Parts: sequence; C-alpha cells; structure tokens
Amino acid sequence: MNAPARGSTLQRIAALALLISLCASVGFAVAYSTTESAQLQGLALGVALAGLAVAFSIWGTSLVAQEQVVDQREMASPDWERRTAAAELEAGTHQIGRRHLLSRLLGAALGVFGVAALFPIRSLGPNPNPQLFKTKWTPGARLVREDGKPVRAGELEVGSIVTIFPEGFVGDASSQALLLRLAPGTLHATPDRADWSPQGYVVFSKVCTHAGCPVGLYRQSTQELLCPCHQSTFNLAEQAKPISGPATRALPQLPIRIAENGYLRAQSDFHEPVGPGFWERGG
Amino acid sequence: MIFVLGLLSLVVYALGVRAHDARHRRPISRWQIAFFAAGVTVVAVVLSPPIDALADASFTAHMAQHLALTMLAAPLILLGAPLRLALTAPPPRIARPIARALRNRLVVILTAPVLAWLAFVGVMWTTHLSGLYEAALEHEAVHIGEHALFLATALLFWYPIVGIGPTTHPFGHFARLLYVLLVMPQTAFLGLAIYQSRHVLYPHYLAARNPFGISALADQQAAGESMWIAGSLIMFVALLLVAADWARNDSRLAARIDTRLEAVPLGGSLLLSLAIAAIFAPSAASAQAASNATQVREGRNLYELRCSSCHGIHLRGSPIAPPLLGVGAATVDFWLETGRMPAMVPANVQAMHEPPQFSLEEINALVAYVTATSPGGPVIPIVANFGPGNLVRGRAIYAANCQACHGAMGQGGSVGYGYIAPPLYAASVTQVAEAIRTGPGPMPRFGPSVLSQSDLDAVVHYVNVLQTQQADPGGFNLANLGPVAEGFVAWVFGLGALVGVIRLIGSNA
Amino acid sequence: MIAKLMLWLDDRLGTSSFTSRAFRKAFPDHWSFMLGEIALYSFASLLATGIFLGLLFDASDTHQIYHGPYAPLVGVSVSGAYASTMRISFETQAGLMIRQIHHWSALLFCAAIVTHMARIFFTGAFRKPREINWIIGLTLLLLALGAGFTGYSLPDDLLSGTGLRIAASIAMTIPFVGVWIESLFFGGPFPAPQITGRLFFTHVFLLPSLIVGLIAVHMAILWHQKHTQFRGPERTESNVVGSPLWPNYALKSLGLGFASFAVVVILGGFFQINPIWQYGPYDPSLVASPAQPDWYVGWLDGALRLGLPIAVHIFGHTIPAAFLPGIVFPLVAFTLLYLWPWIERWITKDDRAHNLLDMPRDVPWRTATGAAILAFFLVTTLAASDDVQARLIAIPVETLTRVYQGLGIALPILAWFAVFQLCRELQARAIQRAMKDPRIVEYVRSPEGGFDEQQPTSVT
Repeated sequence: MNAPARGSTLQRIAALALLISLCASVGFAVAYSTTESAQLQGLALGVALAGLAVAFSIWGTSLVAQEQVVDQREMASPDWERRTAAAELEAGTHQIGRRHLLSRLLGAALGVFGVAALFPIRSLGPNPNPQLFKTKWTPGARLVREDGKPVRAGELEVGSIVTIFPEGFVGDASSQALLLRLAPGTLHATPDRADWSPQGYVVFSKVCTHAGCPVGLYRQSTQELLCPCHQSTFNLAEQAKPISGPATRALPQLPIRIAENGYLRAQSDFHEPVGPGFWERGG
Repeated sequence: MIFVLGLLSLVVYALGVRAHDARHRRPISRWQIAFFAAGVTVVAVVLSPPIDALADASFTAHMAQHLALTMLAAPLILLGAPLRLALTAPPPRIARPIARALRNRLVVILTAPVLAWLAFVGVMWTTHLSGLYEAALEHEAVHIGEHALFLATALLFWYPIVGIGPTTHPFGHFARLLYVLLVMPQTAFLGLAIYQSRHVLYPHYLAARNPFGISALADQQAAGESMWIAGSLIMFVALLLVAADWARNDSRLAARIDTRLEAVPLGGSLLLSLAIAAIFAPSAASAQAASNATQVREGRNLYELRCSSCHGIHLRGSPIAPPLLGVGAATVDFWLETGRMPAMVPANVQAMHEPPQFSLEEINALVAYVTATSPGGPVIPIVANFGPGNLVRGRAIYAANCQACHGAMGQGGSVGYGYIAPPLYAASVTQVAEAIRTGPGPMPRFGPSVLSQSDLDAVVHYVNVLQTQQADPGGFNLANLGPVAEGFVAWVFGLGALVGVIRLIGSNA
Repeated sequence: MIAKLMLWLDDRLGTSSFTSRAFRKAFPDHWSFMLGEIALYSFASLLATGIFLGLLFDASDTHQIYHGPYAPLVGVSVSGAYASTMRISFETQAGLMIRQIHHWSALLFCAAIVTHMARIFFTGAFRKPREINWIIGLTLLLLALGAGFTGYSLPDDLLSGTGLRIAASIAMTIPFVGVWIESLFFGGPFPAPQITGRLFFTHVFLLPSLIVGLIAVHMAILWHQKHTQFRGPERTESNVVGSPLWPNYALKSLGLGFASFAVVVILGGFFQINPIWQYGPYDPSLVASPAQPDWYVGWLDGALRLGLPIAVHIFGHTIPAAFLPGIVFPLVAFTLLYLWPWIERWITKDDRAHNLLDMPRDVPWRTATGAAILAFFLVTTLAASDDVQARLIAIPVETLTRVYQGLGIALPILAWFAVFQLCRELQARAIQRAMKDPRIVEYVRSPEGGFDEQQPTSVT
C-alpha cells in the first residue's frame, strides 16, 4: 500500500470534515438564533459533531503511528504479601474479639440501631388500608358525567357508554365507573344482583382488575369491554367476567336505581374493593 | 438513453463471454447468459420512456417499476455472474487490477453484507418517507439518481444472497437465511405504512392525471399493497430457495460456492414469481340529486337488486344479515358511502373503509327508500361551521370517548377479536358524525343526549383538525406508533449506526 | 503548554508517576470492546441535556391553566410538570430538540448497555477476576432502567401516567407488604400528588449520582485489572496487547464519542419522540391506545400481557395474577444473571482467572444458554406491542397472545439447540480453515524411515 499517498488523502478528508464541522457549528448558532425548526437545528449540530467524529476517527486509526504496546498483568498479590495482610488483620481483630462481652454487646447495639434507623421510612406514606376497600360512592349518590351533569334514565340508547363519577367527586380515580345501557335480556344477572340494573342500565368500575388501567374500549356489537394495557376482555353479559387476557376477576358492579325524577343514583358503594388485587383483599 | 446503456452492457457481456470461452475449457452456461440478458432487459424496459411516463402519472405503476428494478432485475443481473466474468474473461494483465480493486479496503467495507442490508433497507425507507421521492418526481436529474441508487443498493443487497462470484465476506447459510428473513418485515411494514397513510404522500400525484381513473389516495393504497404483497412474496421465494440451498449443501463446509448450476432453479423461480399485484378499486362516479318519489322508487329497485338477498324483502333481515327496520338515514348513508356495504368480505371479517360501490345518487335513493319504508332512527347529522372555541372542547370529548380505541391522533387501534377501530383519516366530516350517532359495527353509539349537537360539532371539528393539520414539530412521527416505533428506531438506526462506526475504527483481531 | 500544566499538577499531586505509565497503557483494539463506550457517551449526552432540562422543568403537581401555543390544550387544567414540559417543547428555543436528544440518548443508553452486557456474557469476560464488574454492570443496567422509567414519567402525560398506575399495581401484588410498599414509594394510594416531586428527586439526583459513582468504580476496576483480549499471536493470560492510550486510543475513543453525540443529535432533530402534546395531560379516568412503555421496560409489559389469569388464594389472602410476571419473573431473571459467574463456575468447575476471552463458538453451551435467555426477553418485548401488531397485520390480538405464549416456551428451547448446533458448525469450519493455514504442517513418516512435510489432509 502506498502509505504516504493514502495518508495524505485521509488527512485531506479529515481536514474537510473539520472544516464542515466548523461551518456546521456556526450554522447551529445561526439556526438556534433564527429558526424554531428542531430539524434544522439538529441537522447543523449533528453535522458539526459528525465532522469531529470523522476527524478524530481518521486521526486515531490512520494519522498516528499504528503501534501495539504490551503491558504485563499483575495478578493477585504475591504470597508473602497475602500472608502479611492476613496476619495484620488477624492481630487487630483478635484484640477486638478477645473482649467477648463487649463485642457481643456491640453487635447487638449496632443491630438494633440498624433496625431502629429504618423506622422513619414509615413517614414516607400513609396507611393505605382504609382507602383500598372503599370508594367515594355512597348510598343515594347521583351518577354524574365528567362535566358534572347528572344522568337521567332515558338519556342513553342501547349501545351507548358514558364514564361517570359520584356527584361531587368528578375525576376521583378509584370511583371512576362506566355506565352502559344493555338491550333487555342481554345481562344474565345473578339472583343477588337482580335489582342492580334497572331498565338495562348497568354500572361497572372502570379500573381494570389486572393492573389498574382504565378499561376504555367498548365492543358494542359483542358486548365486551377491553383494557388496552394488557388486553384483558370483560364480558358484559356475564357481569363483566374476564374471558380473555390476564385479568382474573370481574369488574366490580355498582348497584344503581332510578330515583323519582328519573336521576340514576347508586344504592351503595361497590360490594368489593375496586381495581387490581392485593394481599389483604381475600377471595 | 437507457436503451443505449442496456445495449452497451449486453455487448460488453457478450464480448466477455467470447473471451472467456476462448480461454477456458468449460463455456459459460446458457442459463447464466439468459439471466443477465433478462436482467438488463428488465432494466431497459422498466426505465424506458413509456413506462416512465406511466410511473409519472400513477404511484402504483411507479412502485411496480421500482419493484421490478430492485427485486427482479438486480438478482437476475447477479445471476449472470458479471463480476466473475470480469475476473475470468480478460487476460491477466487486465484481470489483476480488477481483482486488486475488489480487495481495496473501502470496497471491502462497502460490500459488507451488513452494510448492504442496511443500505438497501435504509434507502428504501428514507426515499419513501422523506422529500426525496417527491423531489425525484419533480426533477428528472434526481429521479435518475434515485433509480441509480435503487439499482446499486439492490445489487449490493442481493449479492450475498445469490452468492456467485468473488467475495471477501464469507456468508454462511444460516446468515443468508437470517439476512433474507430480516428484510421481509421491512418491505411489508413500509408497504403497509404507505397503504395506511392518511393523506397523499407525494403531492405530485394529486396533480397528475391518473391513467386508471382512480383517486390519488386509492392509487397510493394500491401501491402500498403491491409493495407489501410483491415484496413479501419475492422475499419469501428467496427465503425458500436459500433454505433449499442450505439443505443441499450442508455437507460442504466451504465458505465460497463456486459453480452455480444450482442457481438455475433459483433464477427460474424468481422469474416465475413475477407476482406484482395491483389491486384496482372500482371507481366512484359523480353525484347527482333526484326528486323524492322517483328516489324512493329507484331506491327500492336498487335494494331489491343488490341488498335484498341478504337483508331480506322489505328490510326484514335474514339469517345472514340484520334487519334494516328503523336504522335511520345516517346508518344507511354511512355504510354505503364508506363502501362497507354491499359487503365484499365474509360476515366474520370486519369491513373497512373502501371507495363506495354506489354513486352518490344511488346512495341517496337507497336512503330515501329505507327511511320511507321504515321511518325512525338517526338522521344524517349536519355538522355546523367550526369555531375556535370548539377545538379545546372537541379534544376533551375526543379524549374521553374516542381515543381509547382510535388512538390519540386518530391513527386507529386494535380492539380485540380481530376488530380494528379504523384510522380516521379517510372519513369525511359527515361520515365521522354519522359513525358517532349510529355506532357502526363494534363502535358504541353516542346519541344526542350523550353528545349534544354542539358537542358533536366540537368533536368532529377536532377530528377534522387531526386529519388535516397534524403538525409534527419533532420530525418524523413514526406513524404515531409511539414507544414501539421509537425503540425500533433507537436499535436499528441509533445502535446500528454506532456499531457500524466501531466496526470501522476497531479491529477484527 | 500542556506539558507545563502537567508539571504544575505534578508539583502538587505527584501525578507524573501515574501519567508516565498511563499514557502507554495498552487498550486492545477489537471493535466489540467499544460497546461499553457507546453506553458511556450516551450517558454523557444524558447528563449534558439533562442539566439543561432540569433547570427548566417544574416538578410540581399544582395544577394551572395552559395558555401556550398548542391550541387544542388551551384552557385545560394541567400540572406544573406537564405545563413546563410543554413550555420546553414549544416555547423554549432548541427546547424540543434537546428534550428529544435526551430521550433518544436514554433509549440508546439502555440498548448499548444490553449489547455490551451480551458481549461480556458471550465472551466470558465476567469470569474471575471480573465478577465485581459484572455485578456493578448489572446494577448499572437496573439503575438505567429505573432512570429511564422515572424520566419519562416526569412530564405527567397520559401515556407515562398509565405506566405509573401499572407500576403501583405491580408493587401492590407483593404479598404481606405490597400495599405498604406502594404507599411508601408513591406517598399514598395511586394517584398521589407527591409522586411528581419524588420522581424528580429520584431521576435527577438519586439515580444519576449512583450511576456516576458506579461507572467510576466500574472503570477504575477495568483500568486496574486491564482489559481482556481475544486469543492471538503474542497474547497470553498474563499480558495485554493493544494500542497505547495516548494518542491512539484516546483519539479513537473521542471519535466514537462524537459519533455517539452526532447520532443522538440527528435522532433528536429528525425523529419525534414522546410527543406529550398528543397524549395530553394525565387523567386517571382516561386512556389511549396503543399503550406501551419505552422499549427497555417492554419485556415487563409483555410479560404482564402473556401472564396467565391465575390468582392464588391462601387463608383469606390473595396473590394476584400479576405477581408472577410482574415481580417473580424479573426477580428470578436478574438473580440468575447476578449469580451467573458462580453458576458457571459450579458447572465448569473452573476456578482459574481468565484474561483471554472465549470465542462464543468455543463455549457452545454458554452461548446457547445466553441465546435462550435473550430469546425469552425478545418474546416478552415483542409481546408488549401485540395490539399494534394486531392492527398492522390483521391478526386478532388474542391469537397473537397465544402465539407469544407458545413462543415464550418454544423459542428459548429452539434457540438453545439451534445456537448450540451453529457453534459446533462454526467450530468445525474454523478447524477446517486452520488446516489450510500454510504455517501448519504435518510430518509423515515414509516406509523407508524418512520424514516428509505435507499440508494436513484431514480434520482428525
């Protein structure tokens, strides 16, 4: 290979790259000051950096003498040194360990201190248990939509769906629920829930029982709810029982009734904790 | 001009064959000559003025041109083993410099299979998704450069697969298999991305007069489909042939394969796989209005002719289709205008938005007939003019009711069981409103007491903004696929580029 | 001038004894040894862009009305975190570009760490005396994942907020202490307003300081132990052959560094990433499809999607279905990875120090096992986008889930055997090639008693 000739070509390339980089850096300063386009700014800055990259790479691989150096490895320390270190350690440790009562008490004191020092972690958050078992739904609470307007019977056609909250608690994460109107005969209500869904109006918690995402997708033609996070599917006819995906429990159903003036009201809170499972939840 | 080049290359090749046969005992096989000639012919034909003019006017034709160039002509040319001929035909004083040039470090790096793969895929993606394609359509010089680039990257790409001729990159069977396997999703996804695109990618085609009489968007969809289907098909055939090759050769451990009579079935099948499918949708005719009574009569005639076999006489329904009693004008109008009815797919397959199969006049007639025979149901909603205040409320309503299925930018999404909430880019303002009111297919319905008229105006306005004004200040929006696409780009382009850099500046010892 | 500076330093710190040897330190040149540097430089980019962003970000949950240039959100109540991120993106010069560079650097950082880790694994560089660095490196990976997750959750947008909800739910699946862990980490049951500030503190101080510290130790150990090297002429277990640090290796490394910066800048300028204005501010009752985390958390999300719907009930308590894929799987996988050097020692009974690397094909069982582990993570990562795939290739997502569940079992097994076989084939081919090496000769004895040289004719 003609090394000198090749070297000068590469040198020219490196020089050109640096020149381009220089202009691009100026270009970036200009682009920053005059345009809002991230593309132009990125292009200028990127070319500036790329030019430097090219120059350094060429310099390091071709424009300096390519040589290899050999280092010797130091393996582990020589035997005498290991023995000396072990002996020193032992001599010192022996002096401490010799005093048995003291060292035992020291161990106990440090241990208990360590445990005690962990206690302030408790301050980082409240006791979660009370809130996990109930939502803001109370007996008689009116069902309201996201804009606060209460829902009346007759407002939903069959095949409609609305996200609802208890009145006064719009936006509450654990109380969020779905109000649907099912065609008569669709819902196979179990005997204990016979009066929970008047005129086909039925309410289920919107919090997925798998990992807590809002179950936002409604397949109206097959009467199923789908959660987009991990694709759990809940069958409305069977009281939102999961039929596909990783969820194991049905979406809790909220018992509702139609009040005198047609407003939909809850009969009570959900009969079970909403959302994903946890240790204290039970069967 | 292209003819001259083609003829020249054929002449040079012929001279080479003559020189080779004079010097070697075994002459060049007829198949090899035939492949090369076929490849050059394909290039010449595909780039000839009449085809070029067709490609200028139709995206599908242009796509076919590129597919022929990169997936047909390139492998055919390589099956003619031109490089091997270049080394074995001329006398040593000419062949030696050629061989030296092939061993040049730059050439070695540039012909590395990984680089060839990346170049092929990269050129494919960037030309289609950047302004380059449009620029090529507008400027002949850029267009010629683009074709040269396609042919060059295709030749580099196919070289390791065809595997004939000198190479400094021993490429085993497993690697060849992986090489072809990994490129299959590329053509498929790009074709799909083009197919799914909400607007015409290259404004040039909006202005051009389409020779097949279809809209620019439909032409584009057909082009995307062709790329996806033809590309996948050809690559699949290549995959099968590479696998067959491996099965035949697994007793040999040589890194280079010299004689390629086995190339015969490789090439022959490639020729046979000339399956460039272009699906042309039936064209939609223009719209006219008609008076009411005649409309109803016309509607009844149409209904009995085209619909009653499934939907029953007098809209009563049948075991295979639901009744249309009281469905409302909006429902009928929506299904007909979006081409979902008459059903062209089996009942268990979701119908997607297609060009309508009836003219606007016929649709109005059918609507009139259905509403006259069975009144009731949602009327065709009228969407009022948009005001600025509507946009924020529209977004809020869209976020609360629509984006879970249709995506934050209206790009569509899967809703399980094979159903898809379609992208919203193709629907007209009225069709969006109709869909909201009638809840077609798996979509829930939102009546006037769930979404008031002003709510409807607002959300339709917002959808219209999504269709027409999506600004992506950050750059390529990666089809709005979110972190999935971002991760892919980071690995393939980000880490890929940097691994390329360290391969260059590091050593291999 | 620099020479003067070096003398100035030596007067005060006695540096010349170090630098005289450091400048000639050998750094092996193989390209795969530079993967870790890609990670290092991506991290440098994260620090640089992160300082810019951290000075402009408002880590507050207090809601305000948005009044910026993005029309569809004007008048909407958003948190300070979201509003400040919008300000950075739309109202700060070069803000969007720098924000995007930062996020692309994070994706590249994790990708480079994983690739580097794979190289270490497949060449056996984790063996004695480098187990400490293996532990540190693996910890750096986990810290990087944590930094990424906390980082993209900072803007309080709908997509990342959904991810936080899932993280809280996964924490809650832990038996006995799950709900407490969730409450202590988040400051209350989800959604707790304290989380915004905690994410900021974690992402901007806790994790970066740990990462910087561990990188420093990682490189100090590397410096002290010297780099490993592949077998080759004049390379032994007790030496290391390579380019001198100054000027050769330093120049090449700088070249790579600037190339890394160039790549993330080009990505940041031309490829939109995490467009939070599209997702909108976080609202616990809203969700959008598709819903995926950043790629480096994808394996966890995919595992959750593939998880079987089986919950365990014992004595009136529940272990939810998400516990297995969400907690047990990562715990087992990472414990396995942490313990790998000792697992391998137990299998191979090899207690010696190794400074020469294996060619992956020379240790087929280890390479195959690594391939199987990677295959499993690949399946779970791909499964995270199963609904996107369902939409694009028109196969029902339920079918894809079954396919990935099957692949999760079949692919690692298939990969193990396929890669094992491939290694064997590569080994055989290498031997064949070596047989053709002109420096290798066979001596054959003739019947008359003389010896003749010849090229080897067979593999045996």
